[in-house]
Amino acid sequence: MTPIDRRVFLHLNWALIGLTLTLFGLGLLNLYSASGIRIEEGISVSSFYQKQLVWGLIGFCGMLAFMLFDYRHLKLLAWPLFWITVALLLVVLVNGHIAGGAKRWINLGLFNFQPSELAKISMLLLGAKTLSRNPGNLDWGGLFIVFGIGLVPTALVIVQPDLGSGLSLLLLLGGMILYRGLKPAIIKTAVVVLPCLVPLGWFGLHDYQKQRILTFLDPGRDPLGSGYHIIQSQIAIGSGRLWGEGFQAGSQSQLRFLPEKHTDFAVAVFGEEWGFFGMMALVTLFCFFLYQIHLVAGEAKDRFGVYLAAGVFFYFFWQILINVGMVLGLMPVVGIPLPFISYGGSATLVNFCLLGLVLNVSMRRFVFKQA
Amino acid sequence: MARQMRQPKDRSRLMLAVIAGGFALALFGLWLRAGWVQLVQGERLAGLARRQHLAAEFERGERGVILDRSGRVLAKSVRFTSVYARPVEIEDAGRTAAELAQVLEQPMKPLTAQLKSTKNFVWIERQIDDKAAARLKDKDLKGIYLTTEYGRLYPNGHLAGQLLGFANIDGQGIEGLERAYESVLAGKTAEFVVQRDASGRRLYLDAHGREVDIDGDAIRLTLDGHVQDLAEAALAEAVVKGRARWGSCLVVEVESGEVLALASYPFFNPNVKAKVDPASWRNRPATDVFEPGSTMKPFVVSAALQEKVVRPENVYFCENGKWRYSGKTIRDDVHHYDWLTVNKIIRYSSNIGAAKIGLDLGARKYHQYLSALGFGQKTALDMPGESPGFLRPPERWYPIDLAAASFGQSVGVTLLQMAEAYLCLASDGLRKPLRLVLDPAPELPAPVRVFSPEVARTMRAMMLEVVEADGTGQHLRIPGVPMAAKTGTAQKASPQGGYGDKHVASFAAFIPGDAPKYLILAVIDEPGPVYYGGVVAGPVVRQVGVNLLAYKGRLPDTGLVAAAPAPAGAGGEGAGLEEPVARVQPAAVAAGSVPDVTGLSLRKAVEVLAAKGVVPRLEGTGGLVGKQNPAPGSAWPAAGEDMFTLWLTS
Repeated sequence: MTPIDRRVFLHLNWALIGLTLTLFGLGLLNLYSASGIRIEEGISVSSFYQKQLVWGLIGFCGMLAFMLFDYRHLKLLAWPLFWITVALLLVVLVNGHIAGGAKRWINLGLFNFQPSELAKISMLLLGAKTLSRNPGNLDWGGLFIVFGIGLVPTALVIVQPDLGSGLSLLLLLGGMILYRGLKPAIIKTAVVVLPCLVPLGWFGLHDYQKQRILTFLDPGRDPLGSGYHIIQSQIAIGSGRLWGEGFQAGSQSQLRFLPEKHTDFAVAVFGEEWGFFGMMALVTLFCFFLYQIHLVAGEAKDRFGVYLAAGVFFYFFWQILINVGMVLGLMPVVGIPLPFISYGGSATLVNFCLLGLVLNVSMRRFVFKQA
Repeated sequence: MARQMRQPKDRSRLMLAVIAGGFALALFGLWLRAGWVQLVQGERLAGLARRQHLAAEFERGERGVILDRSGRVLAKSVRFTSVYARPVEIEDAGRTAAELAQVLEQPMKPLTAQLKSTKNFVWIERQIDDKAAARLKDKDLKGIYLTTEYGRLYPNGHLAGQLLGFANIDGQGIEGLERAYESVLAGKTAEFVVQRDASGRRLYLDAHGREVDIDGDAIRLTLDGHVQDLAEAALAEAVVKGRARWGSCLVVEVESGEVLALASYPFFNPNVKAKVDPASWRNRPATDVFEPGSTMKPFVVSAALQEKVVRPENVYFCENGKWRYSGKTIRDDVHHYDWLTVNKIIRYSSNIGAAKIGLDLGARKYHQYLSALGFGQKTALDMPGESPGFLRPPERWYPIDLAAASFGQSVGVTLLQMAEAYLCLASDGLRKPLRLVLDPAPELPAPVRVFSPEVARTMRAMMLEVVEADGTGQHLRIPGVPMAAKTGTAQKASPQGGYGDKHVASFAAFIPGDAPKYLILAVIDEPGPVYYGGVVAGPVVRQVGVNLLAYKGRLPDTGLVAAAPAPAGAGGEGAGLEEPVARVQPAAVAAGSVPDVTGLSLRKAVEVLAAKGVVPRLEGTGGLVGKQNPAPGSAWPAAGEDMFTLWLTS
């Protein structure tokens, strides 16, 4: 490892750090409200926000750790980390901790570890490493290699079953490929073939997943069953109207009509309590946040850095788009959380670590010039 | 190298611009969608939210108590828990029904049917015991709710039962005063808006909203529980001994017109109304019309005196007991007289004499006085089911009707009307309304003069002779206290037409007779074989009079107090008020040992004891019996020694 160049700290991306902390703070505040439920006298608040704060602090340390070294060294770690990830995913498959009908966790005593989160980092590193090897549009061969790499952990995550995380992995990789660009022949083929694959994909889905898609198309077909989430989250967000019902005054969440209000539907609580005004502010903040990452990708001085930042950009972008879209009724219900707003320990840690990578790329963009 | 570096950089610049544009568009889509959901659809969705968050809930206030004049509780409400269901909220009717069936000990089938109905609200069971309520609360079944209701309790059992009437399970007065004073007594219903969470639990938005005063108001009667008790005891004895169908007795304080007792026998215990004949809850003094007979004579004579048609010293030929008039024969039953002065017509109660005075007075005048005295109209008390009596307009009276009306046949009256008419004589000719309720003060018609004070006094003097001279009530004298009275023995019209061999005995008295303080009336229906008013109804009035005087400390020391079953501590006004009001029917006390009623709800305990003919004395407040005396398993207290005490806890 090369000693740390002091100059890199002069080039810290303060805007991105500020935006991240603002979003995390908002998420914490919202979580505090979402943890409350109306009881006989007043409101009882559970401890989700405290746990989230602890995870945020751990994540922040993780972020700093990911900034300390030159990110180019990570190229060496990409393959080993990939194999470790695959191994852990296999362990989960065989001997995982079951919760909510899915095997997703490895019990580490103090807390449960989710290898699918680690898969996001290793996928990012290996994807960036593979894609940055050559310039130019990707040909068939390159595409198969990248997809071949991505398919193994994705398949292992999807069979847990955790469609949400699997989808995130694919979208992360897909975003990076798109960023690199494809040969026109591939794009032409894809335009013809992909629509044909959609019906095939339908048969590959679990029943509950099919239900979700049907329900998305018509929430009224089962208002108390699979349509419940969509209807209640629409009601919550809609009741917010222009200015919202106020902090801790969202009756949809306080009265427990809104399901998954800490996790996937946390932004519905936000929308109910802060209204259209709050939603605007939140989406705008996310825009700035993404724009900052996007800038980093544009200014990175090597292809590895570009693809790292681009991967993180897509990783966040898809999650934001899918989660907010789902809560607003634009997409079927998929278990994808909203970064920094939804409760989730591993996800928070990973989010901060990925940002650490982006900041790492960002602060070392001038070091290269001299190199 | 520089070229190679530049090329991807330019390309990526372009890529980035495209991606930034495309993805900014996607995020802009989120904006638009948020605007659509929150601004355009917002009101509709907020309405949906309100519909699932808010529910209206009702709470019923406690029904007001009924008190006697000294504040003794005659009727009160006790809290109960009732169970209802909202079937639309129930997911598993079968399981819920099974749980309910187990707790409430009800058959499953009808419960399941109830829970499967499409209604929004069904009662499952009203007034469940506290144990079942606690168990149901623990189970917290979805769609099953507990609510507080009030049951009505009459702590003194049958005391003034017909007068009080009763309220139904919904807390509405159905009979008697409970019905007449519904608007005062009834607890109002308050509607609350409550929040409802996803599992249907109800949360009050505003705790203060529940504190509004929705309880009904109390009413305080003029009735004196103790006098009522005296009247009921005397009446019961007379009706049983006289083998009569029923009897009523009325005690009125002359100066105020306040009714101190209004009793009917057979008794009616409003606590156990389900098992009795509805006829027994008739408030007969108000509802039942009878031909009074000779107790009407003072009014025809007073009217004649007032109109100066006769003077007290006038004499009438009484036809030696049998007078053929207008195709009918009028008789004097017991004794036959030739010439009688007016006062003696009253004293000996001559029908022929009264008829001749009535004929001299004329139908129009007599009717005018009867109307002025209140006959033919409901009294101002306006009790439920009260009858206006039966008084034909004078144009439709045949001569024989006028003659008969003069001795109280062919007119129909209620005991309340009789009381008001006699009260007029007692009040020196001023007709005053009877009064039954002290609080809230009723609006009473102003007093109207019917007779001059001289006429009223003259009539009272004649009535004094009925008892104090050799009149029809001479055997009823109270030593030391003069009594003015009039006996009445009427024949009852038979359903076949004409008059049969059934009778109504009545008796009205002023005590003391020279300066009336109390007016006491009694009527006994179909006594037999002895049926004379002076013999059957008179003793009731006398016994009540003696005990009343003793209770009020107005009985001279003549040894009578010891002989009469006067209340303990009858030393003066208001004394003895701590005595239990209700007298048990001693004969009805069951054999065997005392049951254990501790731990039962007050209502249950009273019902258990009432079934045995015992009405307990209550100590403390609350809805549960904490302690009882005599102890469970011990022998029943001896008849008369009716001290069954329950100590209440909440």
